[in-house]
Amino acid sequence: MGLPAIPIVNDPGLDEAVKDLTPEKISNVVNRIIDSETAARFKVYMKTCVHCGLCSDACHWFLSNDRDPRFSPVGKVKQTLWEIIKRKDSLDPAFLKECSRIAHTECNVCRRCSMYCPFGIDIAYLLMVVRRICSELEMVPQFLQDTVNSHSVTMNQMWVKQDEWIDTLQWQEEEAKGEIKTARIPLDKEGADVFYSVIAPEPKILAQLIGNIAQIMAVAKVDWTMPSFDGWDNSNMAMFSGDFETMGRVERYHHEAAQKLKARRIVMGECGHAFRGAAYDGPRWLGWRQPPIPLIHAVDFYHELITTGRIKIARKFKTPVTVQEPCNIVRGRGLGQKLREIIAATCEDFTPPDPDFEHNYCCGAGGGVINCGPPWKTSRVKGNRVKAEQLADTKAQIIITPCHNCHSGIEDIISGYKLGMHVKFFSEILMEVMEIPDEMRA
Amino acid sequence: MENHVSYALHILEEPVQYLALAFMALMYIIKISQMLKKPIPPEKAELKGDRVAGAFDSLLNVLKPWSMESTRNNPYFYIEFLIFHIGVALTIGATFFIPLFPSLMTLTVSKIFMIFMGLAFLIGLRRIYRRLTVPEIRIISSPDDFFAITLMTVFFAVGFGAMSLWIKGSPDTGWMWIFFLMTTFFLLYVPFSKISHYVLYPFGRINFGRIFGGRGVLNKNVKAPSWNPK
Ligand code: SF4
Ligand code: SF4
Repeated sequence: MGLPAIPIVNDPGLDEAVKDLTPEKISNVVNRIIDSETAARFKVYMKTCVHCGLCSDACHWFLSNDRDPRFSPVGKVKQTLWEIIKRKDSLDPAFLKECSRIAHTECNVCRRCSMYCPFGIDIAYLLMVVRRICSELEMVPQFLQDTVNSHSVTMNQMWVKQDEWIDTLQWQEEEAKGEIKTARIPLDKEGADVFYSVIAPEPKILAQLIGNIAQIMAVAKVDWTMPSFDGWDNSNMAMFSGDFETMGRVERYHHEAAQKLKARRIVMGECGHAFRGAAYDGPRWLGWRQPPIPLIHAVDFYHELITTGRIKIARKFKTPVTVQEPCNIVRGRGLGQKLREIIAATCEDFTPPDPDFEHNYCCGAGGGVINCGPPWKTSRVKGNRVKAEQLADTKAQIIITPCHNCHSGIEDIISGYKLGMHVKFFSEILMEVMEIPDEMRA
Repeated sequence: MENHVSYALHILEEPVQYLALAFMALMYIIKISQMLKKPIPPEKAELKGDRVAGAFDSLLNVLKPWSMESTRNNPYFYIEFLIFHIGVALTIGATFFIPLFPSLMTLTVSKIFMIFMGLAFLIGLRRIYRRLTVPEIRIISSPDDFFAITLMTVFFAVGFGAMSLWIKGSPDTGWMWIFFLMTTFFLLYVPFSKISHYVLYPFGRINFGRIFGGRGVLNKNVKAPSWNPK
């Protein structure tokens, strides 16, 4: 068909692991996963797809790679799962390496294509089955696997040790107190209204976000706590690598940490995938009747603080803004409207992206793709040209996004396509516009 | 319209078709019960919307081209889809109406059937062309896809031919024989082909609706969940 060659990317996670694979090993894992781990919908989807290709236009990878059919959602399923099912017992290691490349690095499991498919087929789920098979065969991109190893050993994604964690919180408490006298980060407080959890990149590289939340909590007079022990990291890269056992452990720790402190509810920081893991994928894997403690995303929380008047807006943010709507909380949880409302409450000049809400394009970083690391950055940024065009069309200067993956992914797109824009979390906007009573100021 | 046919054609039009129909139904029962043997793990998270309303909404989205981005962005494709599927329903319907209720098939009704068969035939040709030429469709097309769409397209043409003779008062023609032989073949073949999507459609759609309805993405204006099937 005369398609351009897919650039070869060296990734030791795949290049080394492939050497240990044998057709027998592959066939054992494939048969086990397909026979005993897939749900009824797997069969339904596999049998229902009419190969109409309507899902193609949903995928930023397909659109951004000049409509290369290998990047269409169903094209990815054809190159992986259809072949896996067809040749279950005669799959070669090189093919499995291709499967891992496609499923781990060329799909963000964003589910936009489900909105396009006339049958509502969840292609992301099908590609997650491929990831699961690859993970069981240890065919996972190295950087992504490293985050999973970190989860497994330290219960956080970035090898943050407990003393580093506590140290960072103390440092950020000091910083916050420098602005607001009453700002505290209460550690291990029992019975608090809010158990606040973050993702590990916050203490590692974005510690100021923790200081910001300490100030916001102080102004809103929220009774809150954070744990000094494991369970503070709510992220979950194991969910995306296909290591569901580790995913389950991580989610259990997170919920149990809140339970241990008898918190009334969990408020999760601004991250989409973390919310997906804690609210949906984790509990489902663990077979819980329901998560033990009510759980909300930061967008819900900020909406509550603003609409109840616990946070008052002193002045509106003037610079033109737009929004990157994280798939996992907008398409995945219906928080789009609340996100719009808090932006409307805080920003003067907002231009919505087109398409928007649950139809918005993925940032290209989610689903563990950005965690596949530098080797895959070029293809990732190339695979989201449509997002760059969409953002440029808004003519905004600031892109608000309440998600870490979106934040990093959009930053890469801004620099890759020279958009000259900046990305902010919502809490950063809030810090600039919220009213701080004079008596609270340090 | 009169329907005096030979005994042999009568056998093909009625008992043979009933047997084939029964076979098809049996195959579907087996297929669906096998599918449902697999677990259907429910979502455990707190409900944010209405799963039942979501499922209904999703199920009916075939009638709401504005609700799905693919058809919203391409109304022509939706019209084509609609005509093609009405053509399918009427062509299959004709194989029941002709032997069982010939009096319902007045000249006007028959002509309406034929218009849809003719249009569906043209759309069938276009679909074959698309499968052969559009890269993202060609790459995913299987031999069954080509076989199924070709068969359907020929079926429309044969149906059109058989009915055009039928309305002229010739019910027992070679065209009619081929039409009913093809119908019988369809009934036996369809459970094993992608054409089965019409039976499986509700499963995928209901699942989609339950998930996105329960998460408050569909039916955004529903205030309280009507039922929580945990
Ligand atoms: S990236 Fe999103 S739209 Fe593309 S195939 Fe994956 S889930 Fe579908
Ligand atoms: S839109 Fe749905 S049915 Fe059509 S090819 Fe894509 S997944 Fe299959």
